Amino acid sequence: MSTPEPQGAPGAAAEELVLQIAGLEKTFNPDRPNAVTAISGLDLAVRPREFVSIIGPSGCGKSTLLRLVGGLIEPTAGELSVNGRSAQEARLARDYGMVFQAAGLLDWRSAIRNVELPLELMGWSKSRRRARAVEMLKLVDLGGFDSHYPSELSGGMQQRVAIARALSFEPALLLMDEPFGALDEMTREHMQAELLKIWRETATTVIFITHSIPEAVFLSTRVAVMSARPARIAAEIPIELPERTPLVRDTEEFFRSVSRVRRTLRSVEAT
Amino acid sequence: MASSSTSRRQRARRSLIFAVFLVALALLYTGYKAVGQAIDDTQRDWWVVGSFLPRSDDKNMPPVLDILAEFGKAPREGGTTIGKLTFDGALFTLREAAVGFGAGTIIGLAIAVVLLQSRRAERGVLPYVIASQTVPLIAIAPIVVVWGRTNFGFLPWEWEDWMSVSLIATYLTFFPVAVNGLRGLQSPSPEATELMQSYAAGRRQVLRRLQLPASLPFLFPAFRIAATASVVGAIVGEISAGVRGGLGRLILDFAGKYITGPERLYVAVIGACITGLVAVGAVALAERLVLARRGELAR
Repeated sequence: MSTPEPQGAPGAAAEELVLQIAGLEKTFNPDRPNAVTAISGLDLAVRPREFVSIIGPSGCGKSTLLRLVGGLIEPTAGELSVNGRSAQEARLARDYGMVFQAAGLLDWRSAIRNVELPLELMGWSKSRRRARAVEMLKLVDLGGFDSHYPSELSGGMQQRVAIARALSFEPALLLMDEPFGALDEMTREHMQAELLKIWRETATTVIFITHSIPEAVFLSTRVAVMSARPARIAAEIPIELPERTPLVRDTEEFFRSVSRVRRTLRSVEAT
Repeated sequence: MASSSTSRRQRARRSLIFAVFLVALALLYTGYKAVGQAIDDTQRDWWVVGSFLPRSDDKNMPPVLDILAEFGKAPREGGTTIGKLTFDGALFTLREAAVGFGAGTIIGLAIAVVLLQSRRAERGVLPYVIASQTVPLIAIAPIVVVWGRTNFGFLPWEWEDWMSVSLIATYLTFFPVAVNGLRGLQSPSPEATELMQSYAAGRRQVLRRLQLPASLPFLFPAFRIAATASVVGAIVGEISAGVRGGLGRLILDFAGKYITGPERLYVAVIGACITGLVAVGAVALAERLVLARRGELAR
């Protein structure tokens, strides 16, 4: 079994890491008979501009991990730092852009006003946030849909608005929890290509939760495989593909990476 | 363009349906009256419809045209017409109702926001909010008026009796607003709330940008209920508290003179109906404007 040491970064200094997790533990209802340890002894390190997918058996605590990283819930034990800060501090410093499986747009706001929401909360001036929102909608190929309301957009378009919204304030870390899980296969592949383009253009660091192996392989520079509950990172697999275009899905390297992840996942599930 | 013309056509159609409905109602009334009267006049056997349905002479059911004509008549020669009296009374009552509605909305929303802060507060206070509505209005109305005359001297403005009636209307309106408002404020999904947290939004920002807008679809039905309740509350409040100037007093007066002129009471009742419709219509209009701004009419 592989070690959880980040690949290709032996002895990387702490300040070079966007995210550093060591010995993380999360127990729900700790002092009660129905206590559940969702995560235990989890280590993970993410460098700037990495695209790390986290994959694992369903119900293994992937979303819990993401919410711990995002500072939405507190760990029971262990260390977690984002750019040298605690998750709470990082959240309050608005280091995170989050995208969930449900786009979570506000129905009563047009696309552009949805993208503006975080900027509004951060006190940006109207003209500045409008300009940024226009730019972000163009980035996700939704220029011209500014004044459309969520109900007038398809699922994929809604998810793109959610991505634009998450990236609008240039967060240090983009946290995505199965963002394409509710989309059909065609839209999903299109969105993956789109996300890669955005990732390249914005130089964002991405942590991406998924249960689709091909999706993880196509998108990521590294795939972290989680074990079943209590969860930890059981293996990390660097992904090297000759190119990141839709065509790569038909290449030998792609298949090899997919089957490697699949085998690792199977061995993790077996234990 | 096309959509605006269809909506105009729809609106015209709706007005037409309403007019047809009114005419049908008048015809039904007249028809029943004619049949009932004919039966009443011929026989009174137990199996005859007319003997156990309400009697339908001119005292019980004045002719429609007489009721309409009553609008233009004046109780005293050369004095104010019944129609004008009813209109003035309706305005007076509408003002009481509007003030009561406004105050009830503010109080209801405030209660909802407070109860939103903790489950414990919700569990502890909500039963009392519900219990408050079981107090009979007729019983508290005179108390409120007496209080208003004797105990509200500390207020920076002079307390008038109609304000007591507004207070009674407030008592009826705050309840649906508080209950539906709380449900609406609690309606955003956990994801939406977590998203706001991830932006490090404060409690007030979450309230203003997420919870309040999300509660509007829950609030408008409550506003409709509150609008009718405020008008009914104002009329009942006027009657039981003996406040003059509004529809309640007018109904009481006209009821006293029913034997000599039953049409008047019908006019006042029609006035009360229209007042209620105006109140609900105002809420519906506000709802349309708000939803249009939110782009929810485009669907």
